[in-house]
Amino acid sequence: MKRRASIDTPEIQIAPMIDCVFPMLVFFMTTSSLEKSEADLVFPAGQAGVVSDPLHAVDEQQLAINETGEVEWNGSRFSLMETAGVSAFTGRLRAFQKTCESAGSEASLRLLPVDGTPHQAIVTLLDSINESAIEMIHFP
Amino acid sequence: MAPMIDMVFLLLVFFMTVSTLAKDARPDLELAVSTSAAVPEEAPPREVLTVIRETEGYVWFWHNRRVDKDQLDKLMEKSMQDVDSLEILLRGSPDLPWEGWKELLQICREHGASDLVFSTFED
Repeated sequence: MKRRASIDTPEIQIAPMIDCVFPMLVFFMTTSSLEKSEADLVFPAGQAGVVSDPLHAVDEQQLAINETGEVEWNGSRFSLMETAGVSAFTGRLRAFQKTCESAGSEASLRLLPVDGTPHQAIVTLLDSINESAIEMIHFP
Repeated sequence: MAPMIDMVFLLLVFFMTVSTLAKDARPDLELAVSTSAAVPEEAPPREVLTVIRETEGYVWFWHNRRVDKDQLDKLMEKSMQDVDSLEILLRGSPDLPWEGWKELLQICREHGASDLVFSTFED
């Protein structure tokens, strides 16, 4: 008697795998949140009135920043919460830096925020200072 | 069935790679937006200090641990022993008043931490 050859082919059972993969997918989709990268803004820790090189000529200006994010500089006011104000302020800083450069002195800023000055205003102020290439700044 | 498996696996791999199961060692916080800040290519070794305004006043976090002034003094002293100059990443929300930073900055200065960095979001 001739024996019939087995024609059965091996099969992978994917149903249990799907049972496992789908809950994992749902879990990661619901729990994950795309991470937003944090950027560094270097902050000078120098204290007001401390001059690193006393022999070097320094032109220091005082900038007062109030609770609404307005900078007062020699009688002029710039709002750091408005784009136009920030542009005007940055332009003024650049002009100050150039004047000091041509006079052979170093531009220095003493920043005087009040207790209620919002952090965003400080960050915007530092952005403008960075853009104007003024390096010497002091906080109280 | 095969295309579905392909798609599901790709999705699974994507979410598994982008999600962070372990919480970052810092409190979750909305940060100020900066136009001149840059994301560092490599995370430098540094301490992370977060200030949060609460009803009872300002609370400080050393990485993810809530600390008071004494604890912070001790931690900073210990960190300064290990390195020549200590870099500190300062984190605060955009509406945090300057008052909230003052004492913290004073402590940083007292301990000789001169490399201070504000943590922001890029514009």
